[in-house]
Amino acid sequence: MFASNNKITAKQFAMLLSIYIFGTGVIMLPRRVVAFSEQDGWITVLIALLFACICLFFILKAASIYPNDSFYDYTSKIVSSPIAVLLSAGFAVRIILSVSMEVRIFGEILKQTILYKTPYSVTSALLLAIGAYCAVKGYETRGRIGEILIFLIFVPAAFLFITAMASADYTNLLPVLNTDLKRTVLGGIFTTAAFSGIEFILLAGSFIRDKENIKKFSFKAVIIMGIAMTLITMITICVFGVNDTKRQMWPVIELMNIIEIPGAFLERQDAVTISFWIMSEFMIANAGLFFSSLLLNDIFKKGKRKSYIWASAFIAYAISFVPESIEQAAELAYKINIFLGGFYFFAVPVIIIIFSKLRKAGNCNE
Amino acid sequence: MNKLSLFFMLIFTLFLLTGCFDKTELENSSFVLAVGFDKDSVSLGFPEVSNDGGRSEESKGDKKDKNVLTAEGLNSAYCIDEIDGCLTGELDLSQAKVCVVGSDVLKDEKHFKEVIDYVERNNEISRRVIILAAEDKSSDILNAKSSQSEMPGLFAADFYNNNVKNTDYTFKKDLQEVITDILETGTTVIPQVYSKDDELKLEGAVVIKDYSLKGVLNDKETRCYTLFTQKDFGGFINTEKKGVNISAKVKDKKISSVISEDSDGLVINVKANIKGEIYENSKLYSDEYIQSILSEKVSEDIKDCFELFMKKFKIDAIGINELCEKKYTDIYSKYKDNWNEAFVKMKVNVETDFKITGSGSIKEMSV
Repeated sequence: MFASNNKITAKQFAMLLSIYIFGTGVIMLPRRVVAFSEQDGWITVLIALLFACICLFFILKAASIYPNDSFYDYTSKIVSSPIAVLLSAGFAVRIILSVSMEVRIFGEILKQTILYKTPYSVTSALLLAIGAYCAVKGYETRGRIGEILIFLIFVPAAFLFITAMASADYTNLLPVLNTDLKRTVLGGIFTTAAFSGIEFILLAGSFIRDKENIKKFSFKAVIIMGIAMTLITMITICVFGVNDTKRQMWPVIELMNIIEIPGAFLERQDAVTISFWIMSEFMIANAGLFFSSLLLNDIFKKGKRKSYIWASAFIAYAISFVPESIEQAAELAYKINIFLGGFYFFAVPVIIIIFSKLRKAGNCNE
Repeated sequence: MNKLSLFFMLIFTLFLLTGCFDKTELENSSFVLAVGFDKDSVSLGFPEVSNDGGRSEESKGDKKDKNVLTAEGLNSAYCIDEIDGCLTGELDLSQAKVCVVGSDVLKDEKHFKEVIDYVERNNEISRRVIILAAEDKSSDILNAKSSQSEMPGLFAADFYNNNVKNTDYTFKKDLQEVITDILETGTTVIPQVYSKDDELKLEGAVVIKDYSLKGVLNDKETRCYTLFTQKDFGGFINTEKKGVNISAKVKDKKISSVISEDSDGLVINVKANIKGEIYENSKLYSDEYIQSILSEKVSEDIKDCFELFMKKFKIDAIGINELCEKKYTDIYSKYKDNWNEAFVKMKVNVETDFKITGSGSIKEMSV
């Protein structure tokens, strides 16, 4: 019934991509965009979606040059081996740093909202251990888990946000288009980091069975998540107002906690609402560990991929203790996603495309 | 996976079944239902757990103060820490239903700001906790016994969940709304609670500007305020004509305001569309006549609301500056630096259209 060939469909990849974008992007997104463009923050998210689609176009083009090769293999063929080593090592570092900061933020938020006495080290160790175990089982396993979790994450979340829409004060979005356009566009460029995960297409191309569908499903995933994040930003601004949204550390989690579910018997629904986000954090951890192990395995060409997964998990765990507070971890995560992430979103795919045209490599002319 | 690894994993899992770091046993927790803030003290109200729920005379006599613990100290966190030291169970603020703020705190800008800051920062206390202003000390409210409920926290929570839509002398205000009001406009209006003849009464309100008490609304003034500002107004419009009482219950209310300016300053035109049911009309006046009387009364009440905030308090706590900022940006940009002065001189025109949708089980046939 199930083929054990470590290949997934483009649809499964799109589901994994959606979960990854939701987990990394959405929690602090309203706060960041409101800092740029106040009540027009939702327009900033739409602009970010546009930039993300442009980056996605270049990423898909770069990944299609040698569609059956791994990132290290095709960058070696296109730009040369030493640069391929540098790019792969940089990519692995970027992924491990992102995972470590996400894990730190995850542990801190859990500690401050529901698990007051559980040490942060325990929750993050468990998250990384389970994520690593899932990554060891291969990409096909991840694809199947994604197909289950996507409904467990998004269906209840959609229900909560629709309930919030019923009691939101939409006048908090007024006046529309009253903020400085330059700041709004600049905010859109920085907010592209919220779509972190699209650069994994550079790594995942060789694992996808039906490559002709990657483009369609990837764009669908990014556009749907972009629209969802725009709506979530709008609802957050409507419920909290501009000034309160700016002050809150994690406005989306706070929003999910204060929504009054009609007829609900739960007085405090924090644990239930935060569970959706925990599931997406688990998928972020296992995606990061899986892809970093691929890159490290290709660079060092020694040992089993399993060893690199556990090594990445251990390194990410150790690095997660470096920031002194959640504010520092959030700032670091933001900067990693903007600068390192931005390099792999845009600069690397463009470099690959340019070099492949110059060298007339692979499927560059298609 | 080999059998030995599987065996150790199963054994390890058994240890996890005993509970984690945050395992909570109900009998080991001290749940707080109400929190009261006074100038130098904080009071915490705990549920009544005697067999009869505190209703008998025996339990009332001895246990009057045992459900409420008060501590004095430097600040709110210090006081709550002091109370925590007297408890056998772990203090749990996550089930707090109401925060009562004493009048001495409301009059002190610095202290009220600290209280709001403490409650907001504390992740245990929900942002949906109801905020009430006490007439005097909040500890008096927490210690008061009501015939309706043994705990002030439960009384207020049940009232606002079940009955608030049927009254116009109070309204629900939670922490999130207070924070949003203060951050967006600098002003807020908080419902008041007081204890009289062993009954807790939710009636009246206080006006806060820049974290400081600026005025108190009595029941009639609160009614005018809720009529104009509250979406879920379900109270009565009562009036008298030629010695006959006429009363109608509001079923649906839509109020829209349009702001413009003339040579003298701001002008606001308020249009109210109200639907209601007749509850008292002993003279059996016609529907059209009743509608005109009630429309007149509603217009009068809305104008009274404006008069109250423009002339008596001289504070815009009814959301006009917010409305102007959001929908009339050009006009707002002219007046934003001295909004209060412009608000106080604003011309108010009110037009009401009251429609009767029912008259109970009595309806005179027209021949």
